[in-house]
Amino acid sequence: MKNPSNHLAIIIAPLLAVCFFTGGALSPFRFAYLPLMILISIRLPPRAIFLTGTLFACGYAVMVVFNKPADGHAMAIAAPEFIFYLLTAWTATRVAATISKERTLFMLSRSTFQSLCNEQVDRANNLQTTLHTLTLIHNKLENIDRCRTLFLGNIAHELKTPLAGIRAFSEILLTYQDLDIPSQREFLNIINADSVRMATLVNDILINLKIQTGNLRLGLNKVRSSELIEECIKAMRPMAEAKGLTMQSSITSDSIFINADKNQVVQVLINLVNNAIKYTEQGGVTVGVALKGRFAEFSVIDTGEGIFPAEQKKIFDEFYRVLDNAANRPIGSGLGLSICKKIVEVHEGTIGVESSIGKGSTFRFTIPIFNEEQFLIYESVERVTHQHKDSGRILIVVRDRSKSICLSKSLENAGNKVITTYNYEKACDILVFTDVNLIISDLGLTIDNNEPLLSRAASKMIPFYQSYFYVEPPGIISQVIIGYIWSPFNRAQILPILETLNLPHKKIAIIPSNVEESRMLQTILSLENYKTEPSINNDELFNSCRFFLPEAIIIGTFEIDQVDLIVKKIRSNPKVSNVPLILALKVPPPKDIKLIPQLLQLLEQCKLL
Amino acid sequence: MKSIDILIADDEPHIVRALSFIFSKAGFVIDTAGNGEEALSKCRSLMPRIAFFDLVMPKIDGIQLCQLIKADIRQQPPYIFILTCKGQDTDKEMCLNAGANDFLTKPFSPKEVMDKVRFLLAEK
Repeated sequence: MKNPSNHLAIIIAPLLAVCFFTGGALSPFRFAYLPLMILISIRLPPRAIFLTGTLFACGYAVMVVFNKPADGHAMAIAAPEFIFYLLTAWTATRVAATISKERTLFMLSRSTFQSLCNEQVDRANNLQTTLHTLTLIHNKLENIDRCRTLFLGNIAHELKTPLAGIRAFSEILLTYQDLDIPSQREFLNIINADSVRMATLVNDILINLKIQTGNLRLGLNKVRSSELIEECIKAMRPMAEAKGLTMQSSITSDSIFINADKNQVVQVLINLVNNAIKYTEQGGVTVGVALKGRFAEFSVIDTGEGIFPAEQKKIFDEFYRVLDNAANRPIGSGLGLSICKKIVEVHEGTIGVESSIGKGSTFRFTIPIFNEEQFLIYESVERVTHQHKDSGRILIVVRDRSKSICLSKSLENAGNKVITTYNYEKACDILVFTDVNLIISDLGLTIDNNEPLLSRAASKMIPFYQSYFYVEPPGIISQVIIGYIWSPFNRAQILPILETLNLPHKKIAIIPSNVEESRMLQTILSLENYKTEPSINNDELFNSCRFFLPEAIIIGTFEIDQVDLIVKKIRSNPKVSNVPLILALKVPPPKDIKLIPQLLQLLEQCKLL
Repeated sequence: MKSIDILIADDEPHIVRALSFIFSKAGFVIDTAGNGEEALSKCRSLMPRIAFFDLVMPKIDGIQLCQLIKADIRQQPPYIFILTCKGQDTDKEMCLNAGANDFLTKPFSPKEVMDKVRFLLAEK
C-alpha cells in the first residue's frame, strides 16, 4: 500500500459507519447504501464502484428535489447527504483498489509458490534420475575395469605363448651342441615365426588401444571402392595360392566412391580375407562390393568350415577365438575381427556375419558413400583445427557445424586466431596443450557437463562467454538476441533489459513454450505496465501483428533447434524482422559464464586481452 | 599293453615340438596330442608315467582332463604337469584340487624341465 490516500480511506471508513448509524435511521435510502457499497467493493473494479456511488448520490439528490420536505430546506439536507454519498463512494473505491492490488500480489505469490513447488518436484525427480544414471555409470565402469583386467590377462597369455617357443628353442640351440643342420634350421624358423607372431600381436594391440582411446585419426578421403578390393587381392593372393585356394573379386559397379581412410579399410579387408583363407581348406575366397542406399557394402565370402550361430556374435569380441573347430587351429591374436569392427564403426558403418557350418561364411561391412557437401565441411573444420594447433587464442566450443564454421570465419576475418571443437571434453583436452585467451561457446551445449572445462578455464583465468548464434543466409553469423532471461523469471532479470530498449508503447509479444511460462511473464510484465500478447506459435504472432505490433519479442525456453526455427521465421517476416529478441533459458547460466549479447563487444574484449 | 614314458598334450605345435625334442633326445619314449580328447584316449591306451597338459586346450581343458584321468586310471596314474601361462594362485589351486601334481609356467627352460623329469623317472 504505497498510496497515502488508501491509508486515509481506511481511517475514514469507520468514521463514515458512525456517521451512518447516528443519522441512518431517518433515511432508509442511506440504510441500503452502505451494505451495497461494501458488497460491490468486494466484487467490482474501483472505477465501477465510484460510478455506482456517484449514481446513488445523484439519485438521492433527484429524490430530494422531487419530494421537497415540508420545511423547505431541501438543499440544506441534500448537500451534506450528497457529500456523504460521494465520500463513501470514494472510500469504497480506494478500499477496493487496495483489495484488488493485494489480491493480485497474492495470486502472483501463489503462482510463484506453485511453480517453486513444481520446480522442487522436478529437482527431486532429476536427483532420482541422476542417481539412477550414476548407478548405471558405476556399473559400466566396474564392467570396464573387469574387461581391462581380463584384457591385460589375455595380452600376457597371448604374448607368453610365442615367447615360450622362442625361449625353449633358443635354449635347445644353445644347450645341444650336436644338432644337425636341418634341425637347427627348423628351430630357427620356429623362433622366427614366433617372433613375427609376437610383433603382429603387439601391433594389433597398439591399433586396438589407439581406437579405444580415440587416437585413431582417420584421413577421410574420396576413395574408389574397387581399388581397395584390388589392393587387398594383390596382397592376399600369394597366401591363398599357397593353400591351393582361388581368389576372386565381385564388383557390381566401378564407380562406387566411399568416404573413408583408404589404409584402414584395406586393413579390414585384409584381416577378413586372412581369416577366410585360414579357415578354408577347399574352394576359395570372393571379395566384393555393392551399393546399398547411402552405403557401400563390402563382402568377403569363403567356402570354409563355417561358424556356429552361438559363436557368430562373440567372434567380434577381443581375444575371442573359435576353439572348438579343430585340433590344430590356425594361429591368431584374437584381435583381428575386433579391430575390423572398431575401424568400421569409426567410419560410421556396420559389420556382420552370415554362416552355415560346412558351407562357409560371408562377412559384410558397410562404409558411407562419398558426399561432397559433408566432405567440404569436414575438410574446412579439419584445416582450421590444424592450422592453429599451437598458437590459438580463441577457443570456440560450438556443436552445430555450420555455426562453428561461420563463427570461426568471422573471428578470423577480424584478425583472431581460432581453434574449434564440438564438445566440452575435447575443449578440456585442448586447454591442456594450447594457450587459449578466450572461450566462446553456444547455448546448445548448456545441458552438457561443463564443470571440468569451467574449472580448468577458471584456474587458467580464461574468460568464458556464451551466446546464442544464428546463421543468416549466406553464412553470416549474427547475434540476434539482445538479452537473456532464465527460469525462474523475476523482474530483476527482465526490467534492466527492457529499460535499455526504452519502448515507447511498452508492447511486448511472448512466444512461450508452455502455459506456466506465459502466465509468469505476463504477470511480471503487466505489473510493470507493459502490454503483452502471448502467442502459442509464430504463425499466431504474425496474425496478431496486424493489431498488435510488438516492440520486443520474448522467446520461451525452447530447445536450441526450435529457437533456430523461430528466429528464422521472425527474421523472414518484414513486420517483425527488426524487433529486438529476448531469449529465455531453462536454467540459470553457471556463475563463471558471461552471457553476452553482442559479438562486437566480445571482439573488442578479445583485442584488449 | 604298450607303455610310454611321457605324453605331451598342447594345442601349440611349437611347444609340443620343443618338449618332444628334448625328451626323445634324452632317450625317453614319448607321444603327443593336439587336444584334450586325444590326450585322454592316449592316456588310457598308452599309460604314460608323466603327462604334460596345457591348461587351455580345445575339446577338453587341462583341469577337466586331470579330473577324468584321476577318476579313470586308479592304478598308477601319470604324474601330471600342467602347462600354464598365467601362473596365478587361483589356477594352481584349481589344478591341484583336480588332481594335477606340478606346474610348468610358460616360458619355461628346457633344462629345468629335463632335470625334473629325470628326477621323477629315476624315482619311479
